[in-house]
Amino acid sequence: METEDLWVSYREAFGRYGAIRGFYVDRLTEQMTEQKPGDERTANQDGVLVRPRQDGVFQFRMSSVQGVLTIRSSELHIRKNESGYIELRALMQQMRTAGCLTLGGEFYLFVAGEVDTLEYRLRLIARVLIQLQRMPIGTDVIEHWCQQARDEGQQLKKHA
Amino acid sequence: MVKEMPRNSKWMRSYNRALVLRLIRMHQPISRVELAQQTKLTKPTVSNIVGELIADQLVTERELGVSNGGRKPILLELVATEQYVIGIDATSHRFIGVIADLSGNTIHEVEAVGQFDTNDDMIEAVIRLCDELIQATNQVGTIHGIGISVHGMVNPETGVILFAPRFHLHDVALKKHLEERFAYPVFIENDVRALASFELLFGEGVGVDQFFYLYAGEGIGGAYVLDGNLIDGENHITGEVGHMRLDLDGPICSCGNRGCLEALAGEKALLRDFEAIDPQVKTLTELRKRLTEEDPYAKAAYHRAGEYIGIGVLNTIHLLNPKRILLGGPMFELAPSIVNQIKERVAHTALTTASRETDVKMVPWSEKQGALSAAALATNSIFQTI
Repeated sequence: METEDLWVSYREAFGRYGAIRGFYVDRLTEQMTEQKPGDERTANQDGVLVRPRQDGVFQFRMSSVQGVLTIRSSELHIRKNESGYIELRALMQQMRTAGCLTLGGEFYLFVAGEVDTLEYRLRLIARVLIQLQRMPIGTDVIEHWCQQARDEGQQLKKHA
Repeated sequence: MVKEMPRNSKWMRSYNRALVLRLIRMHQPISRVELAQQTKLTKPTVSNIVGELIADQLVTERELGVSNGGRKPILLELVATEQYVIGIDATSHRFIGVIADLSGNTIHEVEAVGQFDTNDDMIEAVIRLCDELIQATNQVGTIHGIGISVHGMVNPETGVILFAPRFHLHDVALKKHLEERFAYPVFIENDVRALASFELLFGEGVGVDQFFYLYAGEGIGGAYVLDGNLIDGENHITGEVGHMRLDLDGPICSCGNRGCLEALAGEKALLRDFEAIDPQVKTLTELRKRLTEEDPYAKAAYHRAGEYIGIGVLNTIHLLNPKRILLGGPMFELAPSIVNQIKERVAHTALTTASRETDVKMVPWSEKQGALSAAALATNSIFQTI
């Protein structure tokens, strides 16, 4: 059972040591802010907590889904038939090609049920990855990448 | 981790051969008598080994030396020409390759730029560069081996790149593929460890059994040499001084910890901090330009980095107690005053009088150094491989 405190849940999932960063996104303004443990999250905010790592391994845990998805950055071109994650791999591969993929990290996405769609998750992850790399990449580019990733996912599902 | 070999008569013979070759390289020109004295081997044993080395065209005899009353001794030296090694610096998408002689001189140099999405792409790019370098010799002379210097984690024994961060590649079996393609031994090593290997053979590490090489640039890394061997460690992370934590609440490092030396004093960290002072400075090139223009904020940033690196060096001395610390990399080239800061810190704050006298030296670094260092891995194999 998830606790109300994102940070506690994160540490329960990924361990208590290390430098965890929290990014909260306001659904109404689309504004993303970096927050610290103890900072209040409003009802309109979703959050991504992340601890960087540098071995090319990405782990994703979604508040609404059981289990942890592990992706190695060297295997992004392999489209595994895990529902919904073909698009995530496609997105990350585009970011890798653009030189703005981090070296790895453990991500926990806390998204309210009513907005929890693949599309929304992709956008959150892309924005956080960009923020981690501190690269000047605009929202339009991120949107374009997400769209391409979704298109690729649909194409692959058609031919599956 | 130093590779353990069975110590039989074959091992002993190879060891003696490597020892003689190494002494010739270090003290050339040298006579057989001097070699016997320095190695404590018998004169016939030395003569046999030298005979083999001459037959293998690694060593040559030259003009007679000075006599001490008897016959003038014949002096020995390395064959300087037509004995080659290939070195490739594969630390970025811009590969630099060299053909070097056994004394570490560049004979030919090439570059190649590519995008590597898969392991096969990267292997193919290295093979193409090797082909180009081999063709440049016009089939004259002997190539003794290929050395590849790569960033990230490497298993030098298996020649597998475990993770190359800039390429996002895992488990690249580079040695296996290159040895299938070419008839030369192949050596793969982490870039900083390769730089240390160069120093061990040709630079400030010659004749020094134990030293630590510290690299500082965008990131910070290190390599430890003990008894003339690069120490790898059980999980290939010996010398990762950049991830030595100095501040519990410091800035977040790419490794997921806080306050690592690299996150405090690497140039990438300096850029992050400098952007807060001047948001117009967004690249390392711009930051370095500010430093060369003597911008007081840039100077202060590098000075502060020097203080942290000094603490890192001090901790390294307390941990490993090396005879010598070698400092290399673009940061020391750009801000040589950091070297003095480090020397001063060691001289005043190391634990004992003797350790305060630890020899701290800056070694030259250039863009081509990576490829020459890679070549040194292959050269090293001639002098050290048993």
